[in-house]
Amino acid sequence: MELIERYVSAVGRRLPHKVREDIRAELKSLILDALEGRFPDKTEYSEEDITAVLRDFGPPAEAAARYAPSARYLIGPQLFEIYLLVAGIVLAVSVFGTVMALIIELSVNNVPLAGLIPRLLPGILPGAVTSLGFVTLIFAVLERVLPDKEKESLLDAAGKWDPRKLPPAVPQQRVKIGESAVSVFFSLLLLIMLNFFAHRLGVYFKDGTQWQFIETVNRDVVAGFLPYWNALLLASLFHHVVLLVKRHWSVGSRLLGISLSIAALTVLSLMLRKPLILPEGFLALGGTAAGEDLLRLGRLLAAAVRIGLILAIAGNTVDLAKQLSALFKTKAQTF
Amino acid sequence: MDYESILKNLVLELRRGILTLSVLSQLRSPRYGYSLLQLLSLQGMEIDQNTLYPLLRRLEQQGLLHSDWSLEQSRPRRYYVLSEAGHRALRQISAEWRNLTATVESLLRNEEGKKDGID
Repeated sequence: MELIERYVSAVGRRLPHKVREDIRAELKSLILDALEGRFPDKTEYSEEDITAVLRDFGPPAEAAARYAPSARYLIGPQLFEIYLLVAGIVLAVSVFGTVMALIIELSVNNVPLAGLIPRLLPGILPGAVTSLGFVTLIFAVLERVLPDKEKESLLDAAGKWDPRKLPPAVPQQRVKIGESAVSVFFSLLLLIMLNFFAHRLGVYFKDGTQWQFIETVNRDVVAGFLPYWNALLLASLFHHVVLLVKRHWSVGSRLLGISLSIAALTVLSLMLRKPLILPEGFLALGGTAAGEDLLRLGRLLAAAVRIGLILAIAGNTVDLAKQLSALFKTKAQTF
Repeated sequence: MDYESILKNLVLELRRGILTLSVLSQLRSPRYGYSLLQLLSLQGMEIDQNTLYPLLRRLEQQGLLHSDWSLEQSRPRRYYVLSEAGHRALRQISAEWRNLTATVESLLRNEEGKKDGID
């Protein structure tokens, strides 16, 4: 009889708390009925008798699944694919960011690169586990929040559905998964870099055996732009995650993409006017070089950064033009 | 999927709706799970216990059955019986079943008649 108790409590453990006791009691009574039915002449049952009957009821997990009122899983099949993709990106960013931070830290402290190996796992693991945990948590919440909306739209479809209101059969503009995934990766990376490693931006050089670092970035200017970059990068992250989930462009996502491009262009143009690089910082290099030469080197770097900004502006303008043309194409097909 | 599994699935699908009707039909008076299983089996309707017991609970959740623990016998047993809504549902589903069987019967007869005619 102890076997029966063990079986029903194993089933009960897998059931929602609210119905657990009730189903356990009923299951026990059903098992005793089955025993009586199968061995009508017996009053005492052997372990073999009970085992045979319990086998008919099936493994506890299966028995519980038959009684459970709803599917008991963390992330369902509809969301699982996109969960894997996002988790992969976040994991890659976390690992890549940590490794880069470790390399910079070791180089600055003049530790040979071999010193990286023992610090690699303890460095990567906490960040990777935390970021994976967050992604899983977010998707577990989505799994529980989204179906209600689905139900609503289904109800809507049954009641107010009108074939005349269907959108025209325009071939949907598919999202290029790779492009969006790369955007998510770099947005996350840039967010981490700007917020946590901005003070490490500068010029690194080896002076004999020592690594030297000079801060050549105008920290005040960078700090002034930080809130705008944070807002832009977060909006871009949201934009591309939505694209990855939906898999096709809509007018709304095109408009958001265009707004983001214009905002990025504005911020980049503003940055072009500010002194991002401080050529004077190069004077700290000292050594045998003349001050004038060092300043020239600094100005060269400042010019290179300006060229980088101009290239970014050009890239963004091309992207904006592409987005606008795609939007007009969609509109032209719709009307 | 091989032919045998396809056939097995088709038969399972066909039986699924009929099981509910069969169960409802036998619960005008209260019965406990195992006795219902026996009763159905004696009349030729074999149902797996692992299908029947969760089905009884589902029908109760839907308000078609009532259940009560009876303590009158040697040990407690849960008895199920049709609720008011269950009685109504049974009448309506039975009528639907009779219509369906008549229609399907006639469809099958017509097809067989045609086939015989061709042969």
